Amino acid sequence: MKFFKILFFLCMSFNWLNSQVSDDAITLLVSKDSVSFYVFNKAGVTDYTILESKQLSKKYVKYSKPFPEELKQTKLESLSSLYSNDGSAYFLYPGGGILFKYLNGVFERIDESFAYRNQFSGHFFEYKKELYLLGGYGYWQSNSLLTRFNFELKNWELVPTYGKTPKLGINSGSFVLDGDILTVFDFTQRVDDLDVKNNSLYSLNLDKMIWTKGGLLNKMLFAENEKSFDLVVGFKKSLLQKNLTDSDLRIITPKDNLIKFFKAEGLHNINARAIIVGDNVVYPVLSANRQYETLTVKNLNENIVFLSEESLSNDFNLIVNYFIYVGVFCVLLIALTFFKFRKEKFVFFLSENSLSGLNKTMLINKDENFVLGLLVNSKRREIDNSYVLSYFKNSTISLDASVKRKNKVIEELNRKGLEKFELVLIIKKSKKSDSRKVKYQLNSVLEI
Amino acid sequence: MSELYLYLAFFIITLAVSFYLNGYINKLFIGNKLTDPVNERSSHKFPATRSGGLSIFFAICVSCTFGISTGQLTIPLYALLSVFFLTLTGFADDLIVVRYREKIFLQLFAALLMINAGYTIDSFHGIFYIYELPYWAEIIVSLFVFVVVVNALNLVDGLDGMASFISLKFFLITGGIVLVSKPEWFLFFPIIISALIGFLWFNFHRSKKVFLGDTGSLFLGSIMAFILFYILDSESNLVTDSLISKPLLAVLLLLYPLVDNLRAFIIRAYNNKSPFVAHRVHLHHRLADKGYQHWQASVLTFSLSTFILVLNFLLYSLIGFIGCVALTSVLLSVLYYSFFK
Repeated sequence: MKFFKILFFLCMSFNWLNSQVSDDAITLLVSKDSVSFYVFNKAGVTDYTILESKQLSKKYVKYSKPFPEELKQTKLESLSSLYSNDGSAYFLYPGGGILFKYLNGVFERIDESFAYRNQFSGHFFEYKKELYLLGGYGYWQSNSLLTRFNFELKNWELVPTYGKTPKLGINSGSFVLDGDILTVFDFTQRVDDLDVKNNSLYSLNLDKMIWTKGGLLNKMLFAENEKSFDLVVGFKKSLLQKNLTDSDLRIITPKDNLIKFFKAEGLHNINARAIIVGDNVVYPVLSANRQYETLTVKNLNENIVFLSEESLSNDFNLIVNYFIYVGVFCVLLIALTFFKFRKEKFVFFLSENSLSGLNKTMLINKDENFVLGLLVNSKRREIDNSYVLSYFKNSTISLDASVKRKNKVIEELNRKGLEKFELVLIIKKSKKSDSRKVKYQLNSVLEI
Repeated sequence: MSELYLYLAFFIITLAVSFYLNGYINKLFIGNKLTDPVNERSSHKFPATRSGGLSIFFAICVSCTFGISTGQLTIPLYALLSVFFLTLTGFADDLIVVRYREKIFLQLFAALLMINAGYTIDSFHGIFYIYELPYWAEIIVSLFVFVVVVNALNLVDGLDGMASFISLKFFLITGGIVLVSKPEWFLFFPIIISALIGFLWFNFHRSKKVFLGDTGSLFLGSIMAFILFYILDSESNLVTDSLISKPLLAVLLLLYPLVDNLRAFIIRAYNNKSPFVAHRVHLHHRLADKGYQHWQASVLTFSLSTFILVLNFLLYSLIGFIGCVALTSVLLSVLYYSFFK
């Protein structure tokens, strides 16, 4: 019994030893510049520099002030982090609000706000020495809020944005900041209590705070049910995405509307905590006995093989191709119409007592012959009513009777034309300014 | 590539069906003495029937049935109810003349059906600095746009080929947008375009002349209104969003009917005459009076309005919304004095 008691206390003490934070424990990696990075844990920070030989030189600093109480029960990996050009590293509590800063051996809380919990999975970034948090999820809703940390008030303030804001929210998105433009894509939004992927490409001009909507994402690569990537890290104004279950890797450059696909066999043991430092990828690897972690540095260019490339938003190519087809179609349509009507002239022969054409002959009388002859020889094949009427005027009959005679001749011509050739031969037109002034025109499809 | 063959197959099938139905229904109409009379005001000089709309409708129904049953096409069924309702209204108008007040009432009812199906214009997209609309305004704007679009096509259907060419332009352009943004609807576009071409053949035919009639113009107009609702919906992610403003695109798609009807409406109202009573103050009547043949006038308006649309697409990113509106106004004035004055 005594033996078991000793064994129990030995186990307990080993457990206690294991739970202590060792100085070398690798928890949170933060990239500094193209050759150095930090590794933070709750006891201190190690400043690593990648030497030309790919060896790492390191300098460990124990925090000079007590580690913030708020993070005692929080995993450091859950914080959003960024390195600022002023030499500080900032850490944002999940969901937004509480902000920490590391500088010169001091890891401290710098805000006077609280845990907002409404911007989980939001994008934490720095622009012109200001800290921003965009979008996220909280209280069963996604949002597209843009908040900025006010260093004087030590609190977060809402930044109004304009234009085509993705109003239904930006949750778990991909973000690339290049100059003033923050490109946002591959995110979900809350619609009717469901997370639905937004398949558009958005960009926010941080100088003017105006959203613009780009094209639609390449449907082959951003399918609605496609799962999110395990590893998403910024890489030289691009975004590197990788799943840990396979060797495929893709680098997205929104500015060039490009996705490059690579095979990354050399990065088989990479994990979600990896960071990019210059051209290198740095990630912790668990030792064989699973007791501790070591850092691995690999040159990205040497460990990936280019496979292919695709457009991030391929709709432009698709629509250009479509409109090429449409252009050809329109030209053909117009050409065919021209061709059809170029042939659509019906040649007729007018003799003293007949009108012949379309392999048919129609008998006409002297009056009808005169009217047709008059129209054929007139300018624009159009004559005033008075000219026609003058032919029918006769001193022996009244004017009314002459008009009736004229109308009867023209009506009879049209009736016979419709019956024989299915054509109206003469068209009656009234003048717009005075409807009493009538003109007669030969049907334009007739060539007499 | 296989999709291209599929679209081509449906195009050819619908073309054949449309061609057959136009001939067959035309014969039926003539057999039942349902011909359009040749009178002084009519622009045709041959006996003709108003069977084109019905033929297009049936041809599209046949092909869509194939498309839906093979899983290649999805159609929003509730919106279809509104389209069917208007088509029947048009058919009734072709057989027994429906007064314009009754017709407007029936169109409003069809618009309500469309709105209840969930298709509305819910945003001005920044025009007059207005973005999202309150619900009551959304309903009023949607009703207004629906009635305007449906009547716009109906009223310009005055020359052979005119309504068909306007519809062809509309469906060719919006087809590209739908191809990318809503591919499950896309097959409908090769179908409707080929149905229109089948009709166009008869519309231009000398002895077997067929008109679209109110059946056709209301059927096509309601489909156009539905597509415009989709385009103007703030939740629609369109490929053209980065190229041109949605409201500008909507106007440019129906530029000729909108401009022509607005002009005719103003002239008729100025002369204290009802704009809804048949008249000859349309721009295409001017072309016809100037000696243009029907097909020439139709092709001319099609080409000019397409040219303005393409120009706006190309220049929008450079000159913006206001610049495009100014450019379009200048172009319309120049073209009016060059061709229509």
